[in-house]
Amino acid sequence: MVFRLAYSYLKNRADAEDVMQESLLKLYVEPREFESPDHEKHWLLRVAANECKKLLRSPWRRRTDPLDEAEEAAVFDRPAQSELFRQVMALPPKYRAAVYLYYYEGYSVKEAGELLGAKASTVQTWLMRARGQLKTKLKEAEA
Amino acid sequence: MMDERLYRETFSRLRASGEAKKEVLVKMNEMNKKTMRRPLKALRAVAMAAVLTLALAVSANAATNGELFENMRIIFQDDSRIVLENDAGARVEVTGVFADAQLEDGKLILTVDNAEFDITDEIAENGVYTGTVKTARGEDVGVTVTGTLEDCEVQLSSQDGDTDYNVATESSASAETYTSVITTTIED
Repeated sequence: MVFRLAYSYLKNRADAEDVMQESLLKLYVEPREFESPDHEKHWLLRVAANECKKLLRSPWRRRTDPLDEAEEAAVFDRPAQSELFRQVMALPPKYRAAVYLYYYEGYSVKEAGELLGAKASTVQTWLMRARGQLKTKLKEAEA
Repeated sequence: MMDERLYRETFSRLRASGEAKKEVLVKMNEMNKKTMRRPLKALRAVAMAAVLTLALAVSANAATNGELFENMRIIFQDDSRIVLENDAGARVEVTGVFADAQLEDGKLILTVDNAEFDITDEIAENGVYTGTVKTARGEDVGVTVTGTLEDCEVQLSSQDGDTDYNVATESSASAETYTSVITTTIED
């Protein structure tokens, strides 16, 4: 869950694994008692999202163009999966994270906004644009 | 419109490497060792979680042919129990038992799961103490203490089906020890 969100954001396995480790260690030392597993999951994803944003903002990261490892990040059964993955990974980072939280984790637009530090209306816009871009790109790929 | 099913299928293939997961466990254990030489009761939950999680990496993974550890997440945790679940709904429940042998006013007091035993005579005379303690959850836990009053090692053992779990403390010159014992149950 944390790794998938981090990879969706960062498109880089090593960075995503760093974020996963950092987030889990923060959870490990977090003294509070969570109200429920959902609360704990929400907290963990928010920490991971913040770690991703921090990493994306870092000067080192900005100067570094991570290798495009989308093709080797996972092994897919079908060409459709491979193509969807490639096209999703071509979206801007915040779109990818919003898509992941909304479609994979099943969060509402409002909840995804809380996790990503954005307004619900902004997330709605990201999702709409992401869907639009994917539709166009996937149609092009089919043709 | 997005094909949600295809998206889920596709992204479910994304997984962190086993090495990265293992590193987290190792770091948790290192943090545990640095800060929990003599854990206070309030801090036992943290210490316990590290040991339990580490043990899971070995025992639970082996018990499920490596499948369970994939995408396992904690769904419940307190200072003596941790329940994890994977994407397929399989669960592992781990119960931890705290054991500690400390020299107090010339007496070696063994604490296991909140029960205290004076094992001064056994250790002083024989260099070994063995016993069985029943936990609050009804599990039998074997306890063995070896060494001297000043430098002893505590070992706990339990059985889950045909599997034995044994965890030994590090030997400690001050006779302050910490360990835990694991039992697992798997529900499909």
